[in-house]
Amino acid sequence: MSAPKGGSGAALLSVVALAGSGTMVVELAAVRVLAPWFGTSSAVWTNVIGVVLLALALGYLLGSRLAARPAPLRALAWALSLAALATAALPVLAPLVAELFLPAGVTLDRAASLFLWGSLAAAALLFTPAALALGCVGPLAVELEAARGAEHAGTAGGRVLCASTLGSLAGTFGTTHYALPLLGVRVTFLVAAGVLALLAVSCWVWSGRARGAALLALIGLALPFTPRAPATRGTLLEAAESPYQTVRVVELPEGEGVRRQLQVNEGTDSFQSVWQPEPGLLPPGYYYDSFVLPAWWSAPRERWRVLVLGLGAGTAWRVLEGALPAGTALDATGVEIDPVVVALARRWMDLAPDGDGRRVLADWDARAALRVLDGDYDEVVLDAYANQVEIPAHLSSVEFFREVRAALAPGGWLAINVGGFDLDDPVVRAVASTAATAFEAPALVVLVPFSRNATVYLRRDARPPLPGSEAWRLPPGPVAELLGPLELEGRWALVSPGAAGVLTDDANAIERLQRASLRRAAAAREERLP
Amino acid sequence: MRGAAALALVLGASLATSASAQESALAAAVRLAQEGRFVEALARARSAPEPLARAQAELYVWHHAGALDQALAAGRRGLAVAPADAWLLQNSAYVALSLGAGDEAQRLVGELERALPAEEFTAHAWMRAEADDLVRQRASERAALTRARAVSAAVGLAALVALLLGARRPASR
Repeated sequence: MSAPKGGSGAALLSVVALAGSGTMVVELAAVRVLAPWFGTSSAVWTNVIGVVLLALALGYLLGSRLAARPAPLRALAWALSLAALATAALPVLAPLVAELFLPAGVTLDRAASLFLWGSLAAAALLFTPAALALGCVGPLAVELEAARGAEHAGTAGGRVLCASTLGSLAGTFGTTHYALPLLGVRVTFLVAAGVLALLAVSCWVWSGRARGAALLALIGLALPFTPRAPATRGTLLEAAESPYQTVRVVELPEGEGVRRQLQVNEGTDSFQSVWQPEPGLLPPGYYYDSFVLPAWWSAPRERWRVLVLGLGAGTAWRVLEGALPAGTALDATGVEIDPVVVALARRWMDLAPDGDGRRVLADWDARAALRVLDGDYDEVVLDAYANQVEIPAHLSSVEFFREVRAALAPGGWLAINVGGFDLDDPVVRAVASTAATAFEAPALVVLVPFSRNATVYLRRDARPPLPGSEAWRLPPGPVAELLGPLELEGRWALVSPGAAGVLTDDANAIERLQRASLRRAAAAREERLP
Repeated sequence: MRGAAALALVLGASLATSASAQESALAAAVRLAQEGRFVEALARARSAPEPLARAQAELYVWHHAGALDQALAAGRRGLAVAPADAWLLQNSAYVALSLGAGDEAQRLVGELERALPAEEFTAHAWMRAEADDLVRQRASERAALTRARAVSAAVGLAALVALLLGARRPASR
């Protein structure tokens, strides 16, 4: 075999490094391009990584075959060309493929199986071509490197692997920290495709077949297309890409007025935060109202110090602002991991600026923030979700709940929003049981009317009131009206410490329980059929 | 949720009217639920001697309290003893729609259509359209899931075959 025409070892290794970088761009941005339909849960990540790894394995095998044939440089040019074309096409094809496997209007309890299988099928169709083509690059480069210097195969392979891995490293950091937040998903793919196309052109030129580069003009076809988002009810006010998710604010008609929702990665009927023009209680069906009850169950005070972990767009704050007992001022701190959510909330959902009893820690993980905050709160609200349905494992462990307990004033409250369908829901029971273990007292679980949420209440050094008891009752008024539906049999339960196991930092089955919860709800719905 | 509270008031009025003749546990349950005294309302509902009135009152209380599963269960109990009761059919269908149980809503609306004169049913025809939409939605979800599983299996199988074929040592150069 002859050495490649033109080019040096450094040039070849640069091609390999940039192709390695392109592989990671495809892999990391792949999850984001699917996120508007399937979210970014660990199941989706696993599916995408699995598909990419399988395609790379096939690519390595194909590359090894091509390397044994004449003209490996031309084969490399072909592989890079196909990788560039497949990468450029991804943002265009993703909506078409995703909607094959996740029809519009799916409810969250129905979506579990579709998220799992749909993301796998979509990833297989979308990412196999690019990853397979990129997998061919390594073996072909090893062949060229070995032939160029007449070295041992191991020496050439080591150099190529080193260059490829360093490129992948750069692609990993560059994609997550720079490309996706600054450029967005579509432009990130197009930039990656452009770089791969340049590499392909170089290889075509080196191989003396410059005409092959004309193939890459097809990439231009992808430029005018903007990826389509899932269908939206209402008016889209603003959409943005954050380091974590796709975020949008949508306005919907509500009676004679309007309501706004902050949605993240929504391929289903769910939303993350809600806004109505006036602060205070929301209509039935919104769990946020249940966060106001501890202030009414407690002795009157001038200031109610609240920490909201998972602030979102500040719905809990607005409900508390308008529904605390007369004479009680809200002193609120909120922790939100996604700074883009906070920015959109300030523009569209009246999230108060810092100062005057309000403080937002944006870009902070709830558990990390809890460790640096002062503590002594009257109430901690835990409403931290990832990917629509997942309570993060580190925010559902007994160690975490002990830290929350330590941040409460004596007699202070923890109110947890848990997505769950009934009192036997495995997630509801596990979270309540774990929190009760940390608080060394039973947890009161109530099912929120007209919703698929439960609220779990715990108190530091005290027990939550039993429905119907003297401590439970409130003076007549809108807040007291919340209590009646909660008192019915089968709508509340006390969960004792450890009654349904204890989730720990070391052994935390929350993700498995969440999948079980959704499967159980879907099965229950099927059972309703005659 | 489809304006559940507003609908509950409408239903309460019609139920109270239907129950006024007997000034019974049923009427008391409706009144207590509207006052937010749900535990008492449910107890009074359960004290109704007739199974139909008991089921109607329970459905009303559970629905007004936002416990839709229990409301539908009460509706089913009532329809077991009075399968053509228009009030129960209408309200059970409404709750089934709220729960996303399209097939059940479709069946209940069909029975409601048979139970009511045509001119009266037209006011409830929207429920049939919604139930049909839900059934279509469920069918498209099932089809999507089947497609996803088939594609995943096909791609996996193709990859396995390719790996097996590709792993064979190529002929020497």
